[in-house]
Amino acid sequence: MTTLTLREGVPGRVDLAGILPDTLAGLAPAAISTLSLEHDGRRVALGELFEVEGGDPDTLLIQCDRACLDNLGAGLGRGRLIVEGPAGDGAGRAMSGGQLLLGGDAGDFLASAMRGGTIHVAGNVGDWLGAAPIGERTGMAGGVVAVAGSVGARAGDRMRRGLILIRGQAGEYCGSRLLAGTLVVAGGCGALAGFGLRRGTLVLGRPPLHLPATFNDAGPVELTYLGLLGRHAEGILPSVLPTGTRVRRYVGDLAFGGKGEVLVPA
Amino acid sequence: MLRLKGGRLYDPARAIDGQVGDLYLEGGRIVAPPGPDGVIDGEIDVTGRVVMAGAIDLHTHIGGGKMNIARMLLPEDHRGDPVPARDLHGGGHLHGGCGHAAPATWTTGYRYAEMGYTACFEPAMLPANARHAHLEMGDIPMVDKGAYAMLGNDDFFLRLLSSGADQRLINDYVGWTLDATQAMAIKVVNPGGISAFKFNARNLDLDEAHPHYGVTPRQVIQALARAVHDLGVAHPLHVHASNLGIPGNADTTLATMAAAEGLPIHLTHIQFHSYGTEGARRFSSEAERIAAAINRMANVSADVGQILFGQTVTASGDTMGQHRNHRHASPDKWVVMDIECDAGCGVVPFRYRDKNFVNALQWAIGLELFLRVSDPWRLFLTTDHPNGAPFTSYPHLIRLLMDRDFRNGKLDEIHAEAAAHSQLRSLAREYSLYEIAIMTRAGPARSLGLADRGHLGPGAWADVVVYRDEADREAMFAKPEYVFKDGELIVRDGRVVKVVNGALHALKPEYDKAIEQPLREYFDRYMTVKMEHMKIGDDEICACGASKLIPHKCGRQA
Ligand SMILES: [Zn+2]
Repeated sequence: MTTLTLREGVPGRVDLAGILPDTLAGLAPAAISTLSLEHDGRRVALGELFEVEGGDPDTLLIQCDRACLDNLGAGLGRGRLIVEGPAGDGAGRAMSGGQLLLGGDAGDFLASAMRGGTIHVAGNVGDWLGAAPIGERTGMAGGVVAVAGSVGARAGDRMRRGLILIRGQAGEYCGSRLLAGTLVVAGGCGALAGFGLRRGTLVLGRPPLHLPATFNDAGPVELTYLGLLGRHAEGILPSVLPTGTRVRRYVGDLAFGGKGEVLVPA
Repeated sequence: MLRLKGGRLYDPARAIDGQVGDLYLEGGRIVAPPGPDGVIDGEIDVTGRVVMAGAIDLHTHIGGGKMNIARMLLPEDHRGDPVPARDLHGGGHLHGGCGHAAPATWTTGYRYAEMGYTACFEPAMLPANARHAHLEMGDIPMVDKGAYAMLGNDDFFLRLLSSGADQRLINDYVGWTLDATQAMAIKVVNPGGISAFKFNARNLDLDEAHPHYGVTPRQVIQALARAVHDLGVAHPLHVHASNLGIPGNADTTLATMAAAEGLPIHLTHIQFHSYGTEGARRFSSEAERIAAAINRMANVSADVGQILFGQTVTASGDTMGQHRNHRHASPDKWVVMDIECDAGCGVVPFRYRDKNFVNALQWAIGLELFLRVSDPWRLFLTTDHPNGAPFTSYPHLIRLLMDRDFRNGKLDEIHAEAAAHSQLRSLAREYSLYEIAIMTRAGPARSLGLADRGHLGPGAWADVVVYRDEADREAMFAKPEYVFKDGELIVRDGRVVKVVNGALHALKPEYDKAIEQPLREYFDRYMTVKMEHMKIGDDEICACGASKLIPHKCGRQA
């Protein structure tokens, strides 16, 4: 395992894009220390900010005590990146494979434009989880994100494939403009869940306080695939899906084609 | 006094073509060789180097509102091209920035200076947007700036024209606009067409009557060209002609040249206006006919608006044209908007592809124009930044012009049918360093009436660039060895070493201020601001960020 430990008293923000198991493979600690990073908009040597310890390159451990590291695991395609401490914004952005394990909280735009791989978060997550990067039109397009805590607003915005599991709560507009894919929120969500939903499925552990007016109550239904999904999810984030296959189904968002569904316990 | 010793000077304004000589810089200016008593306290040996005046870009969209809209529309353009901040050895620092097609203001200034440019002119300043344009230009460091005010689609002017107002009244309005907006020239974009678009016209030919005002684009051009001439503005009326980008528009372009009836006229990004309708795809080059007309008509000048392959964003006041182009947007998002009934604005991101027939032919048409127009004093090197390509591609473009083998190599890579359609391969011309110095320095300075810029004669401001004479002209022009701005060394080996602000060039025309009475009434009745608030005072220019205001008198009086 290769370990990078953020030095004490480093101010400002550090962009960790490109610091991945693959890019460090074959480099001795001294060589890793000379890689350049962006720190508050300036290029600096990695060694100025981190203590480096060499080891098996397939796993990279990053230790930090405050949420100042952005783009952790951005572009990860292979191997394992473990973060001990809080992650900044943009973690797992455009990830295509491998595992990103976040031991603390994560900031905004986690798993933005993710295409593959797995992300586990032990803590809470900010806004725009799995959303499209600003200015782009598609969000998460593959892979799995499992969040043990709660998430902010706009989780799954413009998501088009993949699976997001949230054990805690989601903020407002969860699943907004979602194109396809599955978003599971066990602990309830804020206002306007599913706003602009085109296709795809929102599975809510608790009925929302209200849905947009452009959703139709389609009544209770028996959906056997929920059993399959439940067993699949059990191996990723246990007991996040409601037990059973009988749910109440709302169809919408009718203002946007209305081919999506919001499922709540019947 | 600093001596630049032994360089090969290219100074077309004084007909110096590569002769070896020394250059003396003192007090920000180039000075005559000192006598034996002169004190020379610095010397740089530039033996074998190519020495030119600072380059001048007379058509580059670096301010004026559209760029901000492009920036907002394209966050990915910024994400994809970050520029870290950097500390300078002599103190101070370069700001971080970003952006390939629509770079940040600071990044724009640094990049221009790093290529040896020392002045840039924003060609599309809406009077209603002038204050923003000056703030934005003031934010661009390193280079001097100036802007052209857009007229010809504004309600006040079209009312004057359609009511048959006396030309003197139009002259006063044009003079007032130059004065009020601190502009350096007048530009007209799709004459009358931007306004006609708002009356649901989707096309307006040169002799087609505007659906509301009844005037034609030809009348708009004639009235404005006359006003610009009568006021004695150095730069001719700067015309973005009708029918931009439409196959067959070469006829309109030729008719537009003729419409000036001998008055000076500048046709901008003429590449986009040199299209025919021959061939199976109904899209062909009319570069030969357009170039022949320019060669024949001494009152006509043009800039090319070369396209180069890759991602960029098109930003134009021509809402009619941009609305037509929106279906080609790549990525698929665009903005077309009205601005204060003054004109309009359209921003459409675009990727030019070398394997696309139309794009490949556009590339060849631009180069054909460069090679077929014989007088570099009347043809200027532009990509219509960022419409044809970002300005950072100028060194590549210079190599295409100077190196026939390189050009033909690129020609082998483009869409084969487009290459076969073009006569580019048969054009043997290679630009000389002297001709490059004309079209990027002496020519633009003369066209804009900048007497003490664009040349290396005693008395000129010491904007001086020193290049290594490399066979690879792209590498050479991308990375000058030294750039001096007003006598200060600002760039060394293609990297900024000192940050300066740059001044603003603005005209001070003479006109009858009585025009303010009808204008004040008009503003009170129709506009969202008072006339007085439109006007930009001299004292505002430095508050906007420019180092100083450089006022220019108008030459002729009617
Ligand atoms: Zn332009």
